[in-house]
Amino acid sequence: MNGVAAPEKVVTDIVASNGAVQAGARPVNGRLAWLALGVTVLGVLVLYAPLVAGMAAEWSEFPSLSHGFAVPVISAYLLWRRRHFLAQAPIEGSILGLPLIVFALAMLVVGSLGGEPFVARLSLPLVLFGAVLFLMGGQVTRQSWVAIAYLAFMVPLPYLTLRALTYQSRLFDAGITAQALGWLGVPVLRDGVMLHLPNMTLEVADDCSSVPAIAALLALGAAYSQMQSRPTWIRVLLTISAAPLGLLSNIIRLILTSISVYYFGAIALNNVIHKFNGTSVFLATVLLLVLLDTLLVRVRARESS
Amino acid sequence: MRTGWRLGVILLLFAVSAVVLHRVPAVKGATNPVSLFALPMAFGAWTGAEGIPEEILPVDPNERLSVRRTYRNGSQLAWVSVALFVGQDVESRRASVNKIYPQHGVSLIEPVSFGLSLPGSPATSVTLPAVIIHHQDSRRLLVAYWHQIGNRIYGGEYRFRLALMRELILTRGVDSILVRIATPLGTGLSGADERAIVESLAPSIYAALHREQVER
Repeated sequence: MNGVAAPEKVVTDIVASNGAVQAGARPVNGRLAWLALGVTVLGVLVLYAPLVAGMAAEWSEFPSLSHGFAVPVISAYLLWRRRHFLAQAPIEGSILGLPLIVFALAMLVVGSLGGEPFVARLSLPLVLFGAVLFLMGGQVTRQSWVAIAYLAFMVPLPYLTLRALTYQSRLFDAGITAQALGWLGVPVLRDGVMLHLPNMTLEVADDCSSVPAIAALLALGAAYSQMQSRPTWIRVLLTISAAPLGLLSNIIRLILTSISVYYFGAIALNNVIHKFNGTSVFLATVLLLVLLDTLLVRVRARESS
Repeated sequence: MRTGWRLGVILLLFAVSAVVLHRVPAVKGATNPVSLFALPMAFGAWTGAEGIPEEILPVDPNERLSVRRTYRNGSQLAWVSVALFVGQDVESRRASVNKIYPQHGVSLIEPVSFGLSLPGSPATSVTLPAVIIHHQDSRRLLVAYWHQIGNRIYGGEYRFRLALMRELILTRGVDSILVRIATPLGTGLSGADERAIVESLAPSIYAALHREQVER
């Protein structure tokens, strides 16, 4: 009992000492710094208003980008979860934030004038990151960088990259599906993105590829991992696993659709799972993420014990 | 005080950015389609006729204007499309990569590429991107293309986008053309012959468009 009591006393003293410092100096500077940050965020909103409006238009136009509406909300929630740590963090603005702000604004100007919205849009989280570092310092940045970085998920991927990835993914999905169908005893001839079944030919079309939703799946993985109390390595693993798990969910969906078409004919293409491609892949990915999380937590618990 | 200065610096940078973004002149959408019509109706033994079937080379909805011709040389056949894109600060006015070759009812798009030496001063060596399109009905089509800004041609999409960005920033106006050459595969000619069709037509097309640009 005594061995425990002594460290607690020390911790209490440190907190009291910090409190004293805060009572003496921080409130004025702190309040001013937070106010300055508020003004800066307002400035960012004004400066980026045309770009944000453009993004919002794309979020509402393309279903695979509709997660963009949720990203700022989730980002705000991640920040709100860290509010106690943010309130405690010492405020010491860092000059290192200034070159970041300059670089981000250069990206905004070059991207906007050069007609490359991806470059311009990606500068938004960067300018926020630089502003927090410049005004509030390293400790506040350390507590808030995840929420700021999360905003990058709202930026639609550049069309050229997406297009190339989508086609490669269609070929890959068709290849794996044909292989699996063969193992399951369903006769199939694969020709590029076409799957020739005895009773019908199926095309793994653009909409059947999960690549357009890859940003949404990564955003989902990042949000899920941040909302759990997990060690960093599990969070990183959960975030980067979301994309391959999404691809896996999509392949499972394609296999199920092909088997259904083989046994039941064209009517199988009108089912709910096929009609709501994105939703079914999204739900399956959530399920796989939860399973992976459970597995990782058990592995960690076993290693700890 | 220090915080106030920092805020001042940030707001100054924001203001400078806003001024730069709003004071630059708008992108010029001026178009001179004459260069498109420099595409001759005949290249040596090749004679052309107006029009290309949509399933061979689709019309890009973003193009301002295009010249689309079918060329024949005995049993050999080639389709050539030269499309003009203007005021490309907005993505909806650019050549869309999915329209470069037809994809409907296609089972496989196989990328190939070949090097070409194009006329001009100095002569330009370029590697053209091309694809072999395997249609579902066993038809195969070789499609080669390039983007052109002035007399500079770009085989790669990313290099073209970078060039567009540079031109938009520096000159606030850029027109580009997209040249597509298609020829059917598997018509009794060997693969090398079909490549030779594109390889012989491409320099002639470039020379015709290049001459027009020089004369303008």
